Amino acid sequence: MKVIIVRYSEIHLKGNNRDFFESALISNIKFVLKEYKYDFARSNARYIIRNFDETQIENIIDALKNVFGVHSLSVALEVDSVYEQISAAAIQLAPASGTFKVSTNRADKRFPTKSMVLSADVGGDILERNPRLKVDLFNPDNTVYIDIRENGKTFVYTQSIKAVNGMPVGTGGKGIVMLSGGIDSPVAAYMMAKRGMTLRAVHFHSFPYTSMQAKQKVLDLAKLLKKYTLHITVDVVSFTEIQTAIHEKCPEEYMITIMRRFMMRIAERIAKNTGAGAVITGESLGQVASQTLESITSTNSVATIPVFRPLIGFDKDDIIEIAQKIGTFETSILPYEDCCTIFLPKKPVTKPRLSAVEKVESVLDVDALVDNALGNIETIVIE
Amino acid sequence: MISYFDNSATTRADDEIVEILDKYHTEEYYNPSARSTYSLNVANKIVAARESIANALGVTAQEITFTSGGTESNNLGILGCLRAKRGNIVVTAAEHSSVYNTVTELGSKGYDIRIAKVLPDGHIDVDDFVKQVDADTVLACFMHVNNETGAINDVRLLNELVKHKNPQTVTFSDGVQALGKVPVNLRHIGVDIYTFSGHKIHCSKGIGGLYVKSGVRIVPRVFGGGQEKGLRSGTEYAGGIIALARAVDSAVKSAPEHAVIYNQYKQMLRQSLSDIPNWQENCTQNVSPAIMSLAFADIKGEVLVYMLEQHDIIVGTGSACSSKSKQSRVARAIGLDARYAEGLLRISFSKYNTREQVIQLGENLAQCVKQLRKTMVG
Repeated sequence: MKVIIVRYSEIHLKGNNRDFFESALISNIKFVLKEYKYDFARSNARYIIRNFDETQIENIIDALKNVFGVHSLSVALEVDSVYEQISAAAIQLAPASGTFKVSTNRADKRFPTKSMVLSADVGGDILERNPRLKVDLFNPDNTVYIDIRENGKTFVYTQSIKAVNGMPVGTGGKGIVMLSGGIDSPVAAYMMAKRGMTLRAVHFHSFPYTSMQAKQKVLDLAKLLKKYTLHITVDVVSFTEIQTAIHEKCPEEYMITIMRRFMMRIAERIAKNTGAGAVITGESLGQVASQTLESITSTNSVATIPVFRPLIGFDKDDIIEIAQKIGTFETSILPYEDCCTIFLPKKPVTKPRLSAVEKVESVLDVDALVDNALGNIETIVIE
Repeated sequence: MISYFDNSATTRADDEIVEILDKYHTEEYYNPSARSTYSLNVANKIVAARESIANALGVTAQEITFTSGGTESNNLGILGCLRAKRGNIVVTAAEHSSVYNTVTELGSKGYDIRIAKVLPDGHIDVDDFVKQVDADTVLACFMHVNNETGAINDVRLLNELVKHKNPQTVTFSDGVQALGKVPVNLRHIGVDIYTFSGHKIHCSKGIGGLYVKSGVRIVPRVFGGGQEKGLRSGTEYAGGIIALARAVDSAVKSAPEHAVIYNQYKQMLRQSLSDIPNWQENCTQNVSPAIMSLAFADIKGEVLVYMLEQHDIIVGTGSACSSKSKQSRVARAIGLDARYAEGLLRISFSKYNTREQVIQLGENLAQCVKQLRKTMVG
């Protein structure tokens, strides 16, 4: 019978709260497989998926590959732990040409033949069937793995498919990610989800200066992220009133700095209202004027909860590489104006002094503007 | 009610066009290449349609091939006429993406691609274009009407000068924004290949065609049942072809009358914007009456589009066909001043626009520009 072996990552390092991590992982696996029929079983440091529709195997593997906490997957033949069945399965899976070896793991010590001997015998059977093959114990093109389990069953497989690793979503607390529509923020979201965070996104929209397409783009990005975050809700905040107020009352060069302080305040308030404990941004040190140490200091000073910036030390090229890998890049580069690009001043201040920022901002009724924005949120649950 | 001023992107199909399409989908749906009398009737209608379009363009029916639209026609014309994998191709910097990208792609296939300059108002720099043509030029591409600025190029002159320098050069002109807007007589213009599209003249999307001068050899890109004299296999889109003939006829006949009206619209808009500083009309001489290209300093055209939409007015920024890329290649080609480069707005008219709509557009445009200049940091 064809089965899928699911191996998990660093959870096995956890001690007393391993159950907490495992139950989150199992529930996430079941969530991504909810479209399929299958049997699920826990085994030693791995899970076994059985009795699924074999025509769906590629889709099932794709879904499992993106579940944080899954280390690798193998499609295996499960047979009774008797020599003839093991050998037949190995012959079935053996490569058509090139070099190979057989590697045996004998968890069940009651199995009469020792690992080395079994590998050699099965290797001999394979060779006998296909004389074109050659054995290479040190650098083979292919390896046939035999895993003899304690329950009288044996798995035979040839490949191990790498999955995303990380920690199960739901085990790392809850964070609010500021999703702009650019390349960086979806990558930041991905990276925190990878460490087990449950995410909620906030997007700032400057209607009518930014388009419905710009908003749609962010919702599309959220949908792409959902593959990894499993659930995601986007709070779309109307930012126009705040931008207009800043534009009217503050010097042009401080526009972006003060805008970002408002965004941070609003994100933190949403965090507190929704039980989240951190704000996540896609900032990378020095990438643009608002991401210098001084600018980040100005933005950070209005936050009272942790602000995670997983990309802070990344080059743009590295960020793009991840964006391409996770599939958000193509959407991120769609050229719609967003709330940050339409109000871009000619010469933004790159090293704002906090005291100066606080002074120019003091002409604004900050609390009222924030309250108004919070009262004007459109909450969209991504299905 | 929407006031639609983006007719260079696409137009509303006429009711009679929809009726024709409907008829050929539900009543006369027979495959024109099949053997029944019903099929023959459809095939005959296609023959008549081809003749009608050929007449409108001043050419013969044998020289007209139908395709799915402008982009396919441009690809077939350009890729189909090339033989030897060497020589050079002269193209202008302001061509539509379906010409420009097709030609630049040929750069990787062994051709030397020469890009001719465009004047600040969007017209092709004729001297520079002809200068680039030499004994090795296999293809010269010059669009008839520029889709972003509306500039009408003297394609007859360009053709004559290119052919004078190298009679072997195939001359190609993209006429998608010209047909039905400005006079097009292909015998008079003299180009070898000329392309057109239905949905820019109130026909449906999915139908277009090209003219290939008799004697100019072109090879197919799509193979199959040998329809369209083997140049473009695939079951004929009979309804589309028949509707296209109707649309071409109607557009060509009414073009002079519409030109007068559209020029009045332009004048009304200039009037509405008269007390607004720092804007320009990108092309005012030899320009398509249907296109008015404006640029506003210190404003993003895209934002203006969104704001006008709030008043149920739809206008364009540049070419909708290249809207996936942020900067307009044409804006760069015409060398717009940096202050104006992002403030491009394209207003394009159709017969469905009314004076009231134009007045409303003028008022709202002026108001939005004022509001944006007040609100946005430039």
